[in-house]
Amino acid sequence: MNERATPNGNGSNGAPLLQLRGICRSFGHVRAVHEVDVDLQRNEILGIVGDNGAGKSTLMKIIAGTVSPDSGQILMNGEPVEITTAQDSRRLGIEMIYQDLALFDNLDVAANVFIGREPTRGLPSLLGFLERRRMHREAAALLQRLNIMIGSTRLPVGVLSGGQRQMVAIARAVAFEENNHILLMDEPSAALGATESATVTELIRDIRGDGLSIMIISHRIPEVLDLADRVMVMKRGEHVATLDARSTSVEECVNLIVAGAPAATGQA
Amino acid sequence: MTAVVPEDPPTETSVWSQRLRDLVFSGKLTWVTLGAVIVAEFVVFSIAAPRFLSTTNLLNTGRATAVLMIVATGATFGLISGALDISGASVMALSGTIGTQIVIAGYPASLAILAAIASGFGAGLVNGFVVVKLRVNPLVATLGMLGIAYGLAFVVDGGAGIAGNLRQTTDAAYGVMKNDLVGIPLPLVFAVLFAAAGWVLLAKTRFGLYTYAVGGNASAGRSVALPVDRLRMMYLVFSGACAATGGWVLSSTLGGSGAASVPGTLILTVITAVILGGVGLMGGTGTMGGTILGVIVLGVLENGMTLAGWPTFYQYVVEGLLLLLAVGLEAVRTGGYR
Amino acid sequence: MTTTATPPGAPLDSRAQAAARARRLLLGQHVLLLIALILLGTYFTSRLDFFLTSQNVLTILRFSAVTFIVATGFTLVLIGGGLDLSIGSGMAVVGVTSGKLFEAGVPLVLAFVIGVVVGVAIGFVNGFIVTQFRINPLIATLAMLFALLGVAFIITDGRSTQLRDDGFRFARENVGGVPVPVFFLIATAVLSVVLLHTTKAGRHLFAVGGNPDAARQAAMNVDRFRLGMYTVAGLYTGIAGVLLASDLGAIAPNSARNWELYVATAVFLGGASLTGGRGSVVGTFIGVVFVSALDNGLVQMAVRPQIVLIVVGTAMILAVAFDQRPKGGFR
Repeated sequence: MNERATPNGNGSNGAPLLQLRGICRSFGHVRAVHEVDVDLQRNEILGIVGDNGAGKSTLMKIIAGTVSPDSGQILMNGEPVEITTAQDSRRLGIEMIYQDLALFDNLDVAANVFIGREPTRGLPSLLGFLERRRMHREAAALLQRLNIMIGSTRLPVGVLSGGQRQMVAIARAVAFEENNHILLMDEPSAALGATESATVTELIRDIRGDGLSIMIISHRIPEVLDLADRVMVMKRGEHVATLDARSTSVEECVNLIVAGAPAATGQA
Repeated sequence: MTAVVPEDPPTETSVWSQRLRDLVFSGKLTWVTLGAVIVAEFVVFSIAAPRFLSTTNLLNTGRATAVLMIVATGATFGLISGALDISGASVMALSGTIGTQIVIAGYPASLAILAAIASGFGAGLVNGFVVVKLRVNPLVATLGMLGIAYGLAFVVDGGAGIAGNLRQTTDAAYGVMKNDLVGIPLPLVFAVLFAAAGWVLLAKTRFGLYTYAVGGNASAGRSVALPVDRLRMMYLVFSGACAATGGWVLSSTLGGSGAASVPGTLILTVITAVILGGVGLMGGTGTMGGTILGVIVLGVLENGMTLAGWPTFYQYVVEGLLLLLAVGLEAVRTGGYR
Repeated sequence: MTTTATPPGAPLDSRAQAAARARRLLLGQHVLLLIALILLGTYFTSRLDFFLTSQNVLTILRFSAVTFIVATGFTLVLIGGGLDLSIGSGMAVVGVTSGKLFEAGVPLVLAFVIGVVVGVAIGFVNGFIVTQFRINPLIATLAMLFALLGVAFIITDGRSTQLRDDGFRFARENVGGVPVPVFFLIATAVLSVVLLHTTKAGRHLFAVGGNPDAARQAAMNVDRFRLGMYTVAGLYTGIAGVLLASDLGAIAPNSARNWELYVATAVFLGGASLTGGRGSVVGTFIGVVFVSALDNGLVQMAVRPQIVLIVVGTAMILAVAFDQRPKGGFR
């Protein structure tokens, strides 16, 4: 599980797991994302890099359903899908870890892991009784499986360290793993120190398994090159290039980010 | 972060100060403080007014506090979800007035009660709509509703309450809350059941958990696909419905009420009880247990001060000081308002 | 996400900018409210022939004066990111104090001054609790609302009494045909505009309210600003409290109950915001006149005062809703 799996390219029907075609989105006069095509293969880690305002986060939010595109198409396994709300994307097996982590500081670890999908019995839906004991048991098992060190699932998330919070967010995202599971991560290590960041990177490597594909935004290019199979470079809302993480270099990435064209490599 | 390792060998004082600090920071302080306050109230009032400890008086206190408990249950959900609903007292007035007028007009009491409580649903729906759709801060939205519901209540009873010629009703079913159940005042029984149901709802169900989630971090709620707006709406409707239920119980106890029957300061007492009980103003924290203790503190205070011969208005001062004390302790714990 | 507030001590405006700023200050965002006020006036004039007579306009202004004075204090506090729910009770304490003093034979001017001093003290206590005990202003002033209401009742022993000597009722007098409270209104307006828009402290208050953390990073003493603004608001509460008592000619502890709804409506109509950093004296003035005119017109059209409550409540919600539209509002 720890060794880097090679992307096996095509799924059962030959199409990539997730495809974006001609995605556009503007905010007022600003073209946040413009005519972007992306393919995400099964079991792949795709890094997305780019300067501030390059459209990385907007692109991810479009996949997660919290921002709707002005035009363009999203396909899963070659079939067009409709993602207009966060509920839609969750139903399709897409989980997003936001930069702000979207954790509830006032709730305990177990409640954060299960939020929105709590096991209940008795009455239906909102009035159902929470199976708190089961939530704690399963959350503890999940943390153990992922090698996450947190004292108790009863701790409120607000008292955890930055790295622990990040890991709770990751645990929540992979807790309900299904086929064709896609994990979107926005700057998972931005707010972390070196040690914590290394632990989180280790965790990301660990969780990549059968059927889990990851898209990851990061400013730390060496880290992305280390983790990802392919790296996609964005500039001013456009998809500039996609590079093979093993054959490219930090310099090449930086040049693409700054100049937006591979020709710049020679001048540098 | 909470693991504080004492550097010195634990001497007598450091153990105690450590314990005190743990207590302050554990959040259980609210409970301990309130418990101590209630005990102190019992001691002081039983000395100041010998009649205080009689069964009759304690049951009377329960009867008088029932309405506060019912309205505070709704306010607890509202405030934990991040919405301070200050329209409660006027929704109570509206509910009681509507119920009274319908039963006076000769319709069955069941219809009157239903309409009374439905008025709270309506007020809550409007509050929810204003907050969720018009994006108005709940404090402002419910301040507006405070005026609107009060005005509507006056329209419904034609100002009869102010003029002092409000007609009472002798309808036994509508006035059911005047009765006792095996010697215990019915409003007290009802309030206890109501608070227990509120406790189960808040602590045990998904509805309750989401109250904390929405109040703690609404934007995270949206990110994890909780229907935040619909939930906010529900908590405001619940709050309105509780206020309306309280309004009916009051009206039923009085044998009919009008717009002027509910003192405007009642909602402040409700908020004081809820905040005394440890519900944070910013949402996301608090328990029903705390609210129940907060209600008992204020209910006993009111009864005891009256019995001891202190004019009602001294209660305002004590209530205000209690509120400051409670929030001051909370501010010590959390670092307070910046 | 890291939009910083206007830096403190922003460069001095050029003359053109100053003119534009003055225009924005006077009208700007209040155009809609002014149009609404004009429409309201037109409607009432068409239904009541005496609505626009100088007599009635002066009556409206006289009623506006007390509301405006407290509303201005409320506006200052909102701009600085605070909230003051205790204004009604504060006015009650001030009113009964000066009324009682006058009744006991203290000269009018001294009774007035002591009343105002009591108001300043109340404001200072509000500010002290908020800044020193770090209690959220909503709760701090809610507690003060209770405590002060209690104090007002204790001072009067729970009774409302009419003052026998008419000498206290200077607020009912006219000077040169203009009601006395209107002079106070003008003085308050001028003082507030000067404080808020010409002094450095006044302009910094917007930064403190809009983004206290940024203000702290810019080395502003946020607590001192807060203490100051509550104290100034207390000054206004004091003046308004004496004026109200004088207008009623009574020592009435519950005279200013539910005052908060009217004041809040006027202030929110005038463009101030609960989230701090926004608000203006001119906006508040127009808001107060709007509410007073509404009240005056509806009552004279024999609409029951309770319906006025409904209209005022609705107006406030709509004003805030409309105002917040472009900014996204409460989330």
